[in-house]
Amino acid sequence: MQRSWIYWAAVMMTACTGTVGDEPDETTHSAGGEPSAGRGGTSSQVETTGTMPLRRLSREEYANTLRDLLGQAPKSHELFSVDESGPFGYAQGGAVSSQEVDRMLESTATLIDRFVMSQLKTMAPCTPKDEDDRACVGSIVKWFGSRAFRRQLGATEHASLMKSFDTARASASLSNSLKETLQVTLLSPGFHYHWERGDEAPVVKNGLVVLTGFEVASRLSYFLWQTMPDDELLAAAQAGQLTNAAAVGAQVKRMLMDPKASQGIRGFVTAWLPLRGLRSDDTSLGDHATRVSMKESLLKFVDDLIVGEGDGLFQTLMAGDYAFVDGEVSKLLGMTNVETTGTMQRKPFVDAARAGLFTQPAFLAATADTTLATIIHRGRFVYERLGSCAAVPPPTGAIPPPPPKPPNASVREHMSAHANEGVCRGCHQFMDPMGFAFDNFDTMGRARSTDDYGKPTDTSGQMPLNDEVMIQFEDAADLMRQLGKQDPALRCFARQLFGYALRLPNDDANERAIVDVEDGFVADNGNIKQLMARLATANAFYVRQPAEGEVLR
Amino acid sequence: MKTPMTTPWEQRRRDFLKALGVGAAMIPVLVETQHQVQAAGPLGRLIVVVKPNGCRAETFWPTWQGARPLDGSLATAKMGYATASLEKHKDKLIFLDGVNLRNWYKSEGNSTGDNGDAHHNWSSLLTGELPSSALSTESGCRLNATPAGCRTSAGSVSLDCYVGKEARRKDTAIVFDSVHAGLNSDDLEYARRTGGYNCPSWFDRDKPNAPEPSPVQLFKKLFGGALPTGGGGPDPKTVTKVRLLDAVGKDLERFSKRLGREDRARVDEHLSNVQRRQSELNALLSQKHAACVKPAAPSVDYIARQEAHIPKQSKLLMDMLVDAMKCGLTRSAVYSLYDSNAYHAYFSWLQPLNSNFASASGGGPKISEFSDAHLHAMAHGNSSDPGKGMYADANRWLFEQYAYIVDRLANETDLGGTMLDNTLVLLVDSLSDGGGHNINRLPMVLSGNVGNQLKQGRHVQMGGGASMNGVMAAIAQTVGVPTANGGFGNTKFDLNAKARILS
Repeated sequence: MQRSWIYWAAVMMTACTGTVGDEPDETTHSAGGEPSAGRGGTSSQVETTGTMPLRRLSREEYANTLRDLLGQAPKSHELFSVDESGPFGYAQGGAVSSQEVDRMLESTATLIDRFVMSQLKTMAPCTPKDEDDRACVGSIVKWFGSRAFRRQLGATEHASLMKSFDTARASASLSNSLKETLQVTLLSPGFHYHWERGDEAPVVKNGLVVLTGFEVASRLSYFLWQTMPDDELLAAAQAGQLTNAAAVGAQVKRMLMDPKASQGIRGFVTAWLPLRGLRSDDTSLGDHATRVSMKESLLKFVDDLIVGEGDGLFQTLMAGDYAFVDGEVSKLLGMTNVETTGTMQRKPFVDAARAGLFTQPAFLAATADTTLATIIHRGRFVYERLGSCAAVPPPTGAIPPPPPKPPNASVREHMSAHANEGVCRGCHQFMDPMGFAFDNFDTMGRARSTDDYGKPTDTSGQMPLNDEVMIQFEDAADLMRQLGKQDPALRCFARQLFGYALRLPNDDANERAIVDVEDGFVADNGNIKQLMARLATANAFYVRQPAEGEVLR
Repeated sequence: MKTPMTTPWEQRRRDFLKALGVGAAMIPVLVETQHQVQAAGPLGRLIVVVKPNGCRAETFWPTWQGARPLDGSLATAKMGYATASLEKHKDKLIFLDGVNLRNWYKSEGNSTGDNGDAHHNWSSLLTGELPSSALSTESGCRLNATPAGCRTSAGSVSLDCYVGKEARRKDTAIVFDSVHAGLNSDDLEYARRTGGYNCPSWFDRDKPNAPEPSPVQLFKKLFGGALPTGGGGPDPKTVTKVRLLDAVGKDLERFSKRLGREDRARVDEHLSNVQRRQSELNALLSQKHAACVKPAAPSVDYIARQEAHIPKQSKLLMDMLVDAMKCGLTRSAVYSLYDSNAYHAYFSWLQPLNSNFASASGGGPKISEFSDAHLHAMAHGNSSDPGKGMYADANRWLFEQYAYIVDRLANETDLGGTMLDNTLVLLVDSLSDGGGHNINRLPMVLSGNVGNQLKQGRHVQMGGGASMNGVMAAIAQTVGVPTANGGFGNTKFDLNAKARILS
């Protein structure tokens, strides 16, 4: 693996002088103070922002970070963290359970074993000369710890890790003792949690904690790449450049051009849409190859659109008239003469009822269930993500069973009887119309003209987006084309990407910052790439509220 | 001379040994042999089997031709369709009829309680307390703080952990407070989640004892590493693990100090699990279980969404729980059958058996075969066919798992008889009617005994106001670890349940 030594040289040199971390330059960065100019065009002042709840690396982040840290991808059984869902738009690692402690002990031993055997020599700053070369071990521990913790290793931390080495060395070889010390590093909170300031006391300005350069580097990196910062980004943090708007902008531009940007946007889409429901082991959704293809087809569409060859526009995301297909997906989409090469090729839709990602088989299959539930699931997802922009609350009581099917009724007629019942009406009046728009697609996302009861489908409807905007539509394609241009839908998308970028809840404390970002997205005519840059340079990206009870000195 | 004070447990232990015909002079000898005696002593064991989504009453409760005998004797009773597998053990059973999950009532302060949100009740089922809202791992709860669906953490220790912890305090050779295995056919990560949907076992408030669905991992945890060593010094791998956990624990302690309150709680949970494992490994290193005969390593492991593996997976998990008890590694265990929602509980290996139920087609969700429907759907469709019949058949299989544990215990010899004579095995369903999320008259049966305290082979009508708290208090008393105030959890409820069970 090719690695830059710029950052590590800087870490080593700084560590020798005892300098710790860096601080943002308040002249270029506004923490509740004067407006900062030039941050991606955001000019308003962030008066407040939310806290930044401690987050454990999500499962995907954990996998990617291990890969980039150790120079080889972990195997699936070596990953175990359980993700929690945020309000929506992002996942976060769950609490460490008693089972995970066991598994971590086993898997980190294996991971470090492989790393030391195959990668360490080519990556580490030195190779121990003999069994007594403690100095080299010290350098390796400092180097590895700084990368694993995504920041400079503090003196106390280094001493603690060296103490682990010495304890192990009393009864083991240097190599095994080093392995044990690196394993401690991988088991440490510095690796598992997003807390890239270490023991450093926070700088508080106007009541807000100013993030360190390393914290900013990790925020950028996990937003745009879903993995740890690379050497260049860490070097920029170390050099104090991530408080400079121009430098941050240049980093964002570089990062969006990096192949890892695809990983970042895929991470967002996977969390944003119910693609977890499209699990590769769900036999009700066709064979394994079909399920894998469906998911890849949708992710490739978004990935190409935003960080690839596409125009990057929200309107295209909602209503693009093409898909990326292979042999499997092309069959579902009714396309003919598509080569079964296994690679995804861009092809126009052949039926007029499709437009954008919500009419792609992956979304349609992931939201499929029993007949009535499919309508609810699809409607609910579209409504939540583009309409209400908030999670529909679950029923507070027992769910009444569906009413008996009226004779000769269509699914829509049967469903309407359910939706009109008192307790159900509150939510179903909003969700179901959007669900009906997709009723001409079966559980695998194939087009159809009759519903599960054999009756002709009726996909037309109307739906209030807010107090002022009512959408009338003929089918899903018509609905999505209209949503792609609607101000509330654009704002809703920007709001959710804000949540993902900052991994912050969609709450009042962030409202001002969110509205700023929404305004910018609307002004940019829904350019998603610009939205990503705008988010990464928004003031809210660089500050947070202190947590209740946090030690601030 | 004044008689030395003895604890209730010590007293019962002595009484029990006397009942076995062991002379007073022998008691110290038996005590000296530590684990072997204590494993069979009057400090009872406890296994709780937790099942979700209810059961139609007519398929669960026993019936009699004619009137129910006044004493509720099961001698002439017929088991329900779903509980048919318990027929051969009916002289060892006590059906507890009329027990309500009162600590989940709205009137007791659970704002989302009663039938609504009852699928979160696994966090309260074995604690007897209101749920806690902290550290929820359910969707959106932690950050969204929506009350509904977020009160998914436990408010206090669960019965199994309380019993196990007390036993461990009395006998330092015991390694685990409570071992929690959980059958699940969903992906492994979901299965290990902890919260109101998934976890009935809690070490303490907000400290889940997560279910282990993998036989291979459970084997490693219980019998891997240090147990047994086959002679020689301590197992070097286990020694290394203890050292690693020690270093990580110290690191977590230092890290936690800087954090805000909520963040600190999360890291403290991490820390407590690290420390717990360290303590367990240290206990294993003590070599007190060197004589334990390790069962064969499992040849089948958990495979996500491969329902055909479920029966084998279940048997392996149950065998290991019993084997761990036999070895004296734990005195307490929970076996969770899926999770409280059971959205992933498919029974594709079953064929419909119940001809009374599996006939007509209904107007609800399409449920035609076991591979198409999960237990949750069957529960909501249980008022009409075919959901009704499938629900009965799925429950029948689930109760067979409980019967298997009872079988195993009844076939393992133990001091004074069989393991079943020294173990209480409770089966509790978190709902009575799954379709209506009803939390009253929970399907519940208790088998086994400790020191012959319980009169078995009966159907007990618990009477108005009976609560899960009362049943748990009775169990804690019976296994020899009564609580200070004689209740369990919210002590407002049902302090004399044991008397009613015994009456």
